[in-house]
Amino acid sequence: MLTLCIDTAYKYLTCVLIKDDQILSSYSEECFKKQSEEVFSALDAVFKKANVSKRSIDSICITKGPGSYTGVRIAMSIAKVIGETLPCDVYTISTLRLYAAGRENCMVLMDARADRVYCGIYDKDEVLSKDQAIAIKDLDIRDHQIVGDGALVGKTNDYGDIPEAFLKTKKMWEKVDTISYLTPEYLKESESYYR
Amino acid sequence: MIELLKEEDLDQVLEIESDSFANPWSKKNFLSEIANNDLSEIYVDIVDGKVVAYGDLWYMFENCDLTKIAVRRSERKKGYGRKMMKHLIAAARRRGCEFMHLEVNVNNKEALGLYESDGFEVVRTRKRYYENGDDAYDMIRSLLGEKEPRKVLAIESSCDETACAIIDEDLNVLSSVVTSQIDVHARFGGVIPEVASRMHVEQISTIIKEAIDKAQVSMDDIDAVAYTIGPGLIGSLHVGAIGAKSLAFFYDKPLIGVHHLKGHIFINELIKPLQYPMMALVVSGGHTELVYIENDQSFKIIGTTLDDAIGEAYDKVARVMKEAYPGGPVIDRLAKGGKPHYQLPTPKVDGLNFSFSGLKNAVLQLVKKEENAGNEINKEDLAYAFQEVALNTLVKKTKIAVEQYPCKSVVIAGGVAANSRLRQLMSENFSDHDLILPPLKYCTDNALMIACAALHYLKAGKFVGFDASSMPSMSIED
Repeated sequence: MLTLCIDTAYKYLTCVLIKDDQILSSYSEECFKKQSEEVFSALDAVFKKANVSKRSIDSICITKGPGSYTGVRIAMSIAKVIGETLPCDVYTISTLRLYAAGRENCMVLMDARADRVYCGIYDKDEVLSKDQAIAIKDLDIRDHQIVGDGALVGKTNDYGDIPEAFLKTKKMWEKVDTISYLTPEYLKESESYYR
Repeated sequence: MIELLKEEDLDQVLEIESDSFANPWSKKNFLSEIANNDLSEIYVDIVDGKVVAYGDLWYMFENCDLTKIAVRRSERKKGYGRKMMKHLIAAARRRGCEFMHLEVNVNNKEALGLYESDGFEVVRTRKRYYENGDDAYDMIRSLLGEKEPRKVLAIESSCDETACAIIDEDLNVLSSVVTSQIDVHARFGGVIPEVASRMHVEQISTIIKEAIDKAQVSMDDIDAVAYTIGPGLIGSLHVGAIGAKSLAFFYDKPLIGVHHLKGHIFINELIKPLQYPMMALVVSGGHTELVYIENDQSFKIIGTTLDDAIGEAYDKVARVMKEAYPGGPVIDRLAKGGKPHYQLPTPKVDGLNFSFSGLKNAVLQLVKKEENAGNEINKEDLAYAFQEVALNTLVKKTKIAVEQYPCKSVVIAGGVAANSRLRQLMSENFSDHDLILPPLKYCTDNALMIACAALHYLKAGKFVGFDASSMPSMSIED
């Protein structure tokens, strides 16, 4: 199975081609808020490097959120349009779960602004605490290792190797039944925008 | 817009028929053609509810017989004959015919010229074919070996409609799908950008799939992918841009970034050929502009609003009157029952520019004053007063514009072009011009308009790269 993986949900722009259990090619660069302009040249680079044709992919796997709203929508729009027209299967994974990458006892943090973070706690392939938006002061860090925006809680920022993370989480990818119904997991209601 | 003949348009066709042919068909002839003859197709071109031209095709295996083509006498020499001819040729080609045949009176020089320029050749002369003794030519045109007209798939997502359409360069509409979010936004009295972006993502793949399926094409048949690059809400524009770029990237198609307002202007080509130079009054929730269009690639803004757009003013006035969003249709409806009663000041702006914030504030002050005095506001009269001042300002400036910039066509475009009073005022004031009023269904945002404009970009070879940024406040001159 040849899968194109894309993560544009947060600070990085990551594109990976995975064939069965092997990474054929990958691109992963910090690209905050420029993913929309850069994503297709990154995709072009991974297809060329792997020397496979674009339309030979069997599936697309994307991060469904949480993250920057605009960012999450980029990979999701690509997956929905190509998944529906090519057609091919679409898989999703939570951005936080991807960044946890199967680590043990791991708390993933991502800045959600206004002194809040998106937080998910994972232990290998298990979900200890599902993704939520939470005030930083309410975090219970305990002995979890911190991945993501660690600087928000006095540690260092560490996003790991995102292409590797796609491969390591492969069995946690969730297959999308009906592509047209797929929507991002924003974790914040758009009602907050209703003024 | 060219479509198959329906019974309701038959009386108009009969008028033209009896005016154009020595031996006109009867109503019965036409009715049996519509009802019983699978091998016949009659197309009519309807402009502003008026049939301007029609043509009849008979399909006989690999041959297609063009049995008649006629243009209403008052509408001749405006390009309708050529437009209909193009359409009929495309229809025959789509049906799989290999050649097209027709007969023409050797003395009908005008028709002969049209047919020859469309590739028909005389193959023989039929002596004394007509009752008056005139000869006829048999003319034939091959439909083989010709390149299919190029097809464009276009996506529109600049505000609160997600839409996809497919058109070919002969202006045949293959599909047009629109989903509107207006019900959702109506709950909040206006478009909330983040909500709009979220709804675009929900719809984007569905509308594309539906447009492709309805057109009965595959992405391989598409020659270019177009999208609205600006102006509009940035988050909304992004979703359409990514959708279009995804298709262009995966299917190796050139990418066209269309200015939204050019779409509102060029969709009028589905009605009739545009004549340049042209003046466009672009009026919507985001725009109030007078655009002088020298040719299809040259746009000059000669007047614009200094504050609120006209549609915005309608929305705000509707809100003051505690009426629903969007304000345009509500005020238009209320004004119909209104009479001269309230006085509102006419905006005073030099030159060709507009201003509506003063007028809007005057409405607000008037309502407050009446409320303080314990008087109930007559909404119909207030709507009437506002609409008369606002629309007469638009028309007056457009009048001055065409005096300063002489032009052949005058067109109104954008959501406010649906306003019944504006259409009436334009008709009254521009009878000396080729005035184009878009059908109501084309006034709201759709992707067909982006596709129509994209054909001009395609013709000029104007493409964008995959790194093109969306431009929320792009000028039509760019």
